[in-house]
Amino acid sequence: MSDLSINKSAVITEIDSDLCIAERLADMGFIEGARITAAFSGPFGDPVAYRVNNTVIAIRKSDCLLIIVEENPYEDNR
Amino acid sequence: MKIIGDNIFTLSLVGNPNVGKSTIFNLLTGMNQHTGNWTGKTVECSKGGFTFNNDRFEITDLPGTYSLLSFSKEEQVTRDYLINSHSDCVIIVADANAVERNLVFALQVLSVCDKAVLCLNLNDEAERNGVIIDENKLSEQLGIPVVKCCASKNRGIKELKQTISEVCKGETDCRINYSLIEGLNICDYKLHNRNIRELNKNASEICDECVNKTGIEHVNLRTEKLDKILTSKKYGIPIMLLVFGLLFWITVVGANYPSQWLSSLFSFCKDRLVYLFDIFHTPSFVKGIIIDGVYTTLSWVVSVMLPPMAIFFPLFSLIEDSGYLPRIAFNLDKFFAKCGTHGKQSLTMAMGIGCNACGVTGCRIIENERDRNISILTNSFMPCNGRFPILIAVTMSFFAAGANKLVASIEVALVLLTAIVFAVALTLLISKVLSVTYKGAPSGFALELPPYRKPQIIKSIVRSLLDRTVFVLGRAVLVAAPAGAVIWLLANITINDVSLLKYCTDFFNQFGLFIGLDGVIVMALILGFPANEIVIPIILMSYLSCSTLTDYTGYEQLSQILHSNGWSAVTAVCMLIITLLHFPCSTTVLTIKKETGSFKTALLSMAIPMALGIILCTAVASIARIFY
Repeated sequence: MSDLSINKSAVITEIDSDLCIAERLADMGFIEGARITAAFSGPFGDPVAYRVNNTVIAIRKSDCLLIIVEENPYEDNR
Repeated sequence: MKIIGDNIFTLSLVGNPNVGKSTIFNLLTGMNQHTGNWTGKTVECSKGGFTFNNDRFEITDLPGTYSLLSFSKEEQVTRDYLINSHSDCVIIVADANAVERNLVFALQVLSVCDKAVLCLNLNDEAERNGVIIDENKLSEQLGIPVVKCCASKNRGIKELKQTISEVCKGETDCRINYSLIEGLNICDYKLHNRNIRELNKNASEICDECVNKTGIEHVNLRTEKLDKILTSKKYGIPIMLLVFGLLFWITVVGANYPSQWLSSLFSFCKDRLVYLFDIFHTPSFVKGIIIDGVYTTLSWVVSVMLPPMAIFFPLFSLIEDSGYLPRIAFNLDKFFAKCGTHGKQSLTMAMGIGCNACGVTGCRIIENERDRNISILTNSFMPCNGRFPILIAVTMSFFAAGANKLVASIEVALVLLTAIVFAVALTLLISKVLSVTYKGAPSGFALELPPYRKPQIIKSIVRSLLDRTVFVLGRAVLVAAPAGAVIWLLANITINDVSLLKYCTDFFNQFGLFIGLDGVIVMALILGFPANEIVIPIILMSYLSCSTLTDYTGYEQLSQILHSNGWSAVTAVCMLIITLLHFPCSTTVLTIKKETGSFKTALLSMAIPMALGIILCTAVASIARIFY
């Protein structure tokens, strides 16, 4: 997810169980199958704010590394 | 249950953070309930009540949480309370804008309670954004009544009370049939994962059924446009500094006049009091201790402390209510990440500006124990409202040098801004050191950035005046009155024609001078342990007790007194440093002991800032000695 550029959206395909805040993120809507969009980044490029379920959540890049996303897998069906 | 009046029902209020839960609580219970909330975040449960149709309803406001399944302290509090308290009705507050995520939480609550009402807050905003919720269908799906409301406009509160009353009396049935896989088992990550996935699936199904999204999919366009400026590379940090600079400037400019009015009021009353005492031929000892001791100290505390607090806190609460504080955490997180600490630490630091004890309690929002301890230990670097007026008073007396009033006030604001930036930098540095010494892995960071909302200006101001200013002032007055008496006694009981006060200050004087201060300041800081608000009054009492006691007429007079007692610019700088860096007040230390359960941590929290303060002051004083 850390490679997702701003204003691009993607679908979460896998969350590494080593991610120590995985539970908290799951509570906030970051689960497999969820559609997320990179909204904007902080003044120093990190953390990045993501849009999920109409809310905006900021996550550090180091944590984003453990979340695997696929960019627009359903693009054609939209 | 019989349907008669005069019953007492218990209610619990739950919900995600940032959904306006506390606003609903305040509306239900009325303005006379003070929740003691410091940053729009309920950490402790607050209680309140209201009467509706002759029935009494007692509400407990529980901390805002994202889930009942995880294991942070606030979630534990909420979960245990819901399971054990058997409330007559649970009010679930949900943000209509983010209804899907809020439903995930609502479903968890429904799995542990029998009777509940869902309150869809911020419904106006959601409808404007094109999210239309069919509350009848939603009510059918969940098996509980659903009430739409808009707390900021006071809409739907009556209906909410009516519905709660009906549910409590059993006039409206709740048919909850929701349960989780093996209940609320929290230890198992895989189980948690399955539960969450199941919950999300259900919530999304319910949403498909009941929610009609007519507008564009992402709703907070205005917020995002603002965020792109306020968190941008170019403007993010400068705007942040500007906001705080402006805040200080307004406080400095505004505090001067009411301070003078208050002191003239106090001296007017003092004359009348003296007159009264003379009529009754009160012994001079009693007159001295009450008027020159207690009354003068009190009037100093009120006229020096009240005006800056009464301006700073309402303004600060406006910034809080607008939703800007999480953006500060967001902007600064890179630094905190570099120092190996938690991004939410900046939020607890902001709470610390209000009150360090509250900041320490607020550290509960940090799940990881190691990070929490670091935040707790460094919280007192943030000047709380007891110490802020000391900074303002000293800066006003020494650094408002320009002949032009405007220039002078800007100078003062800049000095204050520098002090805060210095405190933040020091927090980061010490956090880095602590993060190396403390064992344990750093935790990640997930912070919600709620949409910006126009603060309710009048309500915010009234609330912060009532909650914070009066609370802090009350505490200061409680400590100042006996302290005034003690100081007067010390100054007036003499051994060999030298007052006890003189013995005390002489005892500390050599040490005080060595670190760029003097004996009076050191003693004032020690006596100010119960509440830092009384430090400046004690200093002045001590200086003035040697000469004739004058009344306070403003910062200019303060400046005169300090100058005539040997204060130089170096003393002022050292005073600013030691104000930021000495042991936190007794309340904070006790809170640290309570929160961490560790005597050692509480001692460390006193030792670390004290050591730093002494070292820095000595350094400044020594360097100054070389040049002068």
